[in-house]
Amino acid sequence: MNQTLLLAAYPARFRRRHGTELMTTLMEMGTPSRADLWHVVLDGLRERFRLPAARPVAVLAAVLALVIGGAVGAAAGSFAGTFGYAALPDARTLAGQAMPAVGPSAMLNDGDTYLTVADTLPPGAVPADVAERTRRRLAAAGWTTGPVTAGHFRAATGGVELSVHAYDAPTSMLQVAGWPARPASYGWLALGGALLGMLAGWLLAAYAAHRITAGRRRTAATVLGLTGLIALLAPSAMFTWSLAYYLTVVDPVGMGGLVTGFGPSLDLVRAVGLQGYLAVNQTYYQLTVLGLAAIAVALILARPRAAAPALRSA
Amino acid sequence: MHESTFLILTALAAEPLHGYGIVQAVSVLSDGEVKLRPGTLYGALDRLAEQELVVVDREEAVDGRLRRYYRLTDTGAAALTTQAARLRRHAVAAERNLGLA
Repeated sequence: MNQTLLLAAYPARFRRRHGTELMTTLMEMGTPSRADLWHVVLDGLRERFRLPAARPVAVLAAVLALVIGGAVGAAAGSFAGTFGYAALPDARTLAGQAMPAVGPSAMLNDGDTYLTVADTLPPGAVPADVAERTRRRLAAAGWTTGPVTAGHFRAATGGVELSVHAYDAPTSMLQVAGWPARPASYGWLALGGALLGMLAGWLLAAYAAHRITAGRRRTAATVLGLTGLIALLAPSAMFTWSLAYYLTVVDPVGMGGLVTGFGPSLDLVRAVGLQGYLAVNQTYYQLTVLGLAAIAVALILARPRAAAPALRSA
Repeated sequence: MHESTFLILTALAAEPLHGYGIVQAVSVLSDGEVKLRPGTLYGALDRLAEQELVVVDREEAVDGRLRRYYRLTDTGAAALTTQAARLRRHAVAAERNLGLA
């Protein structure tokens, strides 16, 4: 292992301060064994997680960053997870499978996570019979169908779920709704994203805390950085709540409006009856942008001083 | 206070030392029980500097090698004094209860 590689394990501030003397000391202690070299690397990685000593605000910031990082990571994992969802058939193809003929009165709505197909029933048609005929047609087209109860049944194939309704009040309609089932990979990606995000959140907080502690404009940078974290807390909490809600719904319809942004999902807004600013996605979008901007400005304000305080000779 | 932190401060209480000097002094002070690794040593020195318990005393270049000497600050000496008194109290209490004193 060469010197650059060994020191790469350490944060930059540490390399600048101690890189040379660390290598000097290592050599003075005798020819390092393989275990010694591994310890140098592990000590460096550990140093990246270390917060500045005797700074309670840094601990608070790191905990906030851990939580927020987890939410951001989960959101990224959730986004990656959406690619694992089955592609929906187009509405016209589905209508062709479910209905004897797709006439001009048919209503076809395509979508990535939700599609609907509907048509009025011929005069005098009995909803239960229509449902049963539709079930047989879909089964013949390769769908696995469930039992018909009160003009309703479920069908599924290749990760796509259907809910079929035939009814005669208030109007006589046959309605088919389709959405992709949630694949197992989705939950794992969201969880993996959350863990990586927590790790990244803590590491970034440790970096920022050292930069701010040793940098210029310490008070301004601290206040701005904390403000940014607090602003990010609201969208993080709402997204995490939405994700938990979506993951605990056993048979979710579509994505539950989860991939609309870093905030509450449509399903959560409806389920808990969020109102006013709390329900508007734009609010969370603005808070996210403001929070990130505040943190960026805090880091720019905290430019390093000419000499780091640790090295200032007294 | 960690044992290694206590021993680093104790080593520096005698005289300003450079990195390898601290490793050697701590090894002697602890009868060879505590062997500081370079990574942990400089991490600990950074932490102690952040708490203003140690500062850089001077830098020297010896045979093209950087020698940076660290020394105890007044705050560091006070912290070490407090900790030494605490440890002595604990040691005395332990010996008394064991019937050794």
